[in-house]
Amino acid sequence: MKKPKIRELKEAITSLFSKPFTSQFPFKPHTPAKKFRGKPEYNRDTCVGCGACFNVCPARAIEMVDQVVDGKWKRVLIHHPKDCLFCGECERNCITDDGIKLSGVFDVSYFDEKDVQSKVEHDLIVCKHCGEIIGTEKHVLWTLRKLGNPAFSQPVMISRLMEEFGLVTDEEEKVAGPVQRTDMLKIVCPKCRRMAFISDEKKER
Amino acid sequence: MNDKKKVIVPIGPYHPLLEEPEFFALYCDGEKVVDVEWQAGYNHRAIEKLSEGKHWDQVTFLVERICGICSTSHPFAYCNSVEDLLDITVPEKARYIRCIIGEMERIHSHLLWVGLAGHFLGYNTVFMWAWKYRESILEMFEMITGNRNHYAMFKIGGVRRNIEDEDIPALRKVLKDIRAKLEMLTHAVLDDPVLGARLKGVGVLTKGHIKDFGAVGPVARASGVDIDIRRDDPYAAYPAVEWKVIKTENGDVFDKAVVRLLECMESVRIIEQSLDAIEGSKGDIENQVREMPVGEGIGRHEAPRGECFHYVRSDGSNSPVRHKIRAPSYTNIPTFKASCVGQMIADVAIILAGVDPCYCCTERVAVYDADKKNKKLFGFSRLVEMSREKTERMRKQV
Repeated sequence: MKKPKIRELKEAITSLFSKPFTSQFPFKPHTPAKKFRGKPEYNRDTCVGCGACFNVCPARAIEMVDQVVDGKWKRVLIHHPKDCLFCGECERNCITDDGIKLSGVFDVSYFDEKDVQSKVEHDLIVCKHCGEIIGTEKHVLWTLRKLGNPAFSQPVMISRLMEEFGLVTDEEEKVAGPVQRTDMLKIVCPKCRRMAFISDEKKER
Repeated sequence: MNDKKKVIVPIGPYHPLLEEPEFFALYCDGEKVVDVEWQAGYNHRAIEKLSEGKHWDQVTFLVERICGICSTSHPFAYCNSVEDLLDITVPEKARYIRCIIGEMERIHSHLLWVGLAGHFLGYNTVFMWAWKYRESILEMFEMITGNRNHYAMFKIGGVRRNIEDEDIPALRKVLKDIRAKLEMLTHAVLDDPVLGARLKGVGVLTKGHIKDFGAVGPVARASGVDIDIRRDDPYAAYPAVEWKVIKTENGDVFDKAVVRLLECMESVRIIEQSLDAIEGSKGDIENQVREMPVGEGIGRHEAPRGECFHYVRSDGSNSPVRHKIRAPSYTNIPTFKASCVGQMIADVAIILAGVDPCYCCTERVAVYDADKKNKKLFGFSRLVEMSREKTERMRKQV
């Protein structure tokens, strides 16, 4: 039988006297690296509900539902960790940069899936004439602030801002009848605004 | 030879010891293997079809999941193919980062192979040590990219994440350590008389075999066929760094091990030079792609197991119309037909492991031809056991 060389002996002795290389995970907590890509979590304050994360997710792990809850339109974004690849695309493409963030949470085992899901709910702005979804309230306000002055060329944004400052109180739930030129400054979708414009021109002629 | 005397030894398709579903039928005459049959299709996941339903950028994440070990080689080849279609160049810093990720992966994949080979031969210390050294590379991956295995680094036109200057010293230290360990491991393997007696002349593939089967990667280079995509079809930053293609002449399992270990050393060299190049540089890491032209593109990458090939065709829409993938194991696995025949059953486990087959990479086509004969199953664990017994016998002789 051939004897081992000194270099292997050295390695063997160092291995013998060093601590076990494997981590003591269940007994000692594991600290992931600083850049570790863990479970994505929505930030309720900074998420505007634009749905960019839903669009870019390669595994379709993010669910976007627009639904009526108690007579009000709501958008719910749900992140399902069971489908997630932890690629970080949602974080990279988030328009506000911190609406959804990858946390350091690596352990996403669960008994009930709802315990680990990250969920965020937003109010939707809908067209007062046809009921078409325009966007979430936060998204419209975020765009307004992002755009600055040019935003005032957009009727929905002006109306929304005036409502916020209490300058107008738009209590009507719906724009009744055919859409008029005067309705263009109310919260109506681009399609209805175009309709108002065209029908108005026809009338003039 | 009389058909009745043949014993069929089926291996697979599912066994806890095998890392992937695979099926081999060995036709044996006594202890000698006379024929091998390989069946694929147990792990078909319709990746090519799925990629037709995803955006160009999302496909990188899909192809990353083809293989669990060399998870960056498919995105690398895919990005090369889409960049060929787009006819764009990648910023210099991104090219170096791509090289670093690709070569770090080669080190960890080869170390994994060395460990497994040791495990099959009954050298469990090699298994423990090689995987211990590999762990430091995986930790570096977690530090740089945020994940140990699926790095999500590649993007059409560049890379997604930067290697920050503050991460570089830690990476250099790991490389320095791993270079010493690799030297120790290489010399230990080269000098070991038992390993020499056990592996030399086992599973020999000649140059002719390699050319007939079209084998690629370390399998071809161990038989003296000088092919390497990194040099033959330069991409990323490989032409800018100094390294050499490792080549040996004998084509047996021992040479395959030597090629892999020496390649790791070359990878360390490439990474060190790339780190020198990117340290302190403030360059861009990605080129924005605005629109997709109509056309087709081909991308190749020298994965740890050999040439990985991707073909994409675009009709100008948001997803590929056709995406064809050919993984290196697809051409390497059929060489079993040449390397196993005439060998002892005890050697089969290490010959099969010798080409480092990756079944989940390969399974693009599902062809199933059921054999109706009754088979006596004694599984891969028994083969590994026989392999270890043979090593033990040889150890006593040496």
